Amino acid sequence: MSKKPKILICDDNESIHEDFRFTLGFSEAQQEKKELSSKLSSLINEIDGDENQHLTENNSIEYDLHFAKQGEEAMLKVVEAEAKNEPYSLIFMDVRMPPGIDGIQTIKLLRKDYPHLEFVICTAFSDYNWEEIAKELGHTDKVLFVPKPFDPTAIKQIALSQTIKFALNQENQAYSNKLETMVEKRTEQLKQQLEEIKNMQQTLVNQEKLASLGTMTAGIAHELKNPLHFISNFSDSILNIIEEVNENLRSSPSKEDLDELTELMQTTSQKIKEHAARANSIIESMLIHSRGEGMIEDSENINSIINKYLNLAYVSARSLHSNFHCQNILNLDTDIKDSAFVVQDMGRVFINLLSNSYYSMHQKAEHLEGYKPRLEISTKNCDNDFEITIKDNGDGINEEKLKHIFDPFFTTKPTGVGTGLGLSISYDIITNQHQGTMICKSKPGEWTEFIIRLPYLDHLQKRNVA
Amino acid sequence: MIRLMVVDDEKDSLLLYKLMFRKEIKNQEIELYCYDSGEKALQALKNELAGKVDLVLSDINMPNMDGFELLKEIKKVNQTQNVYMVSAYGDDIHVNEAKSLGASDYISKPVNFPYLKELIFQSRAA
Repeated sequence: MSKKPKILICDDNESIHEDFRFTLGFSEAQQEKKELSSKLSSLINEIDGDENQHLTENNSIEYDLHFAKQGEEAMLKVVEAEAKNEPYSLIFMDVRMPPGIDGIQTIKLLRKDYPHLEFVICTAFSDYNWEEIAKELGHTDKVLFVPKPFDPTAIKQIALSQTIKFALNQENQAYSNKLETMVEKRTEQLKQQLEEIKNMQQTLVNQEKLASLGTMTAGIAHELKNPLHFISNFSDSILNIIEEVNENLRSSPSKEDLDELTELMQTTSQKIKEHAARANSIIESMLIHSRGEGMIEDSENINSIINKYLNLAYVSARSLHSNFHCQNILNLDTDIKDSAFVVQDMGRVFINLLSNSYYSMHQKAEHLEGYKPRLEISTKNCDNDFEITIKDNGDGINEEKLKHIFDPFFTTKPTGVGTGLGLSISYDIITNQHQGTMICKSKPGEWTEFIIRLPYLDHLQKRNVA
Repeated sequence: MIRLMVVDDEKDSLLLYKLMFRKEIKNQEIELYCYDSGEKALQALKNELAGKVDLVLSDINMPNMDGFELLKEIKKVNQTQNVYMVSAYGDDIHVNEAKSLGASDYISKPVNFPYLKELIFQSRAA
């Protein structure tokens, strides 16, 4: 706005150019006044920084006037000015300009490329009437009409208001552009942040997997040492029996003695086989648990999953607190049919829920004399689905906390003990992956109960696993 | 004759003891009493086997009365009763707890039976 507004006057009649120059241009006296006023206003600006000062100084407006005699010439000037980024604030356009194209056509062509331009059509309405002009140019606030012959005061006022309008529009446009750029930039930042959050979430989920695997490690070690104890020692006992057989053979062996020894060897070999299979299944379940990606869907019975993981969870809990003991009661409905599961994920649900129960009961046992920890797991076959209930008689959860237990990172355990992700991951596995429901009820100080309801499924829906 | 009481909820464990001490049992060097729960073992120690057992070998991880509880109860009945804890838990927490409750020794699974036999006969000699 500090520059002089550029005005283009397009008229084939040069005397009209003179009229405009006289009306909108400056006399020497005006020029002098303008210079003084400009100095004054810059002083005022320095004092109070009012940038809009010049807008109110109507008399001192000075225009940069340009002239064209033909529509084509006017178009060239506009193109040139736009290329230099010094656009015209206002164009006065005559209608009839032989031999070239008329003013209406010129405006129509210019508006195609430069819709921001402000026009004033100076017309005697001899060539076009109002309806025709409106039809050619459409209804727009960018075109004004001034009947010829015109009133200099009206022209001054029009020039003033239209050039200010143009300047304000330009400013507005620049501001919108700036805002758009800011919004785009901010959107891009938010996208990046979202991506970072997603990555962090994935990292935390992986850490939770590792943490629960860590919890299980001691339990797994204990579980493996038991079968190893049998495999190793039953093998030794076979060697002992063979030695005994040999001793018998050196003397006079009785058939009964040899039969007994053979039978013992058979039993013992069988035991070795059984305990090797037991060790193998423990290792399998551990591997399944640690495998994060490439989820394998299987048709399984929920009862067998519960059996497998209850033992692991219990031994893990006991490996942390050797003095902890709990009565585990299973009421498993044998009518339950197989369904599609990602077994390792269902296993994680049980490890998480049971670990929480054992944790809570152990806490209660620490402060309550004569308390007997008791955990009950029931399954029930319904028509199209089945229900799993896990109830412990631990410390319970108060109403306020109960609202948040499935929220990610919500934990009541001390720092370092819980990540706050166990239940939220479990909830996701039940509700999203297996299309079921999970609710929790509790009586503070008395008990906590998780009720999981799952539909019988042939196949799980494909999804992105957390 | 050394009278050994073995307590373990896993039936195979009891079978294993019988097999590993087969020769000693046959030669009447060892007499074996097997129980699959802490409660039953404690009952026997209070009644028919009172004062008759030289050494108790007890598992730790058992349902209901576990090995540590049994150890406490035994010590209440007979302060001088020799008890070895036998467990797959190999960590210090369990070993220390066993010692603090008065266990004479802590044997880790898998049990090294030749070593265990040596311990048993040494304690007898002492």
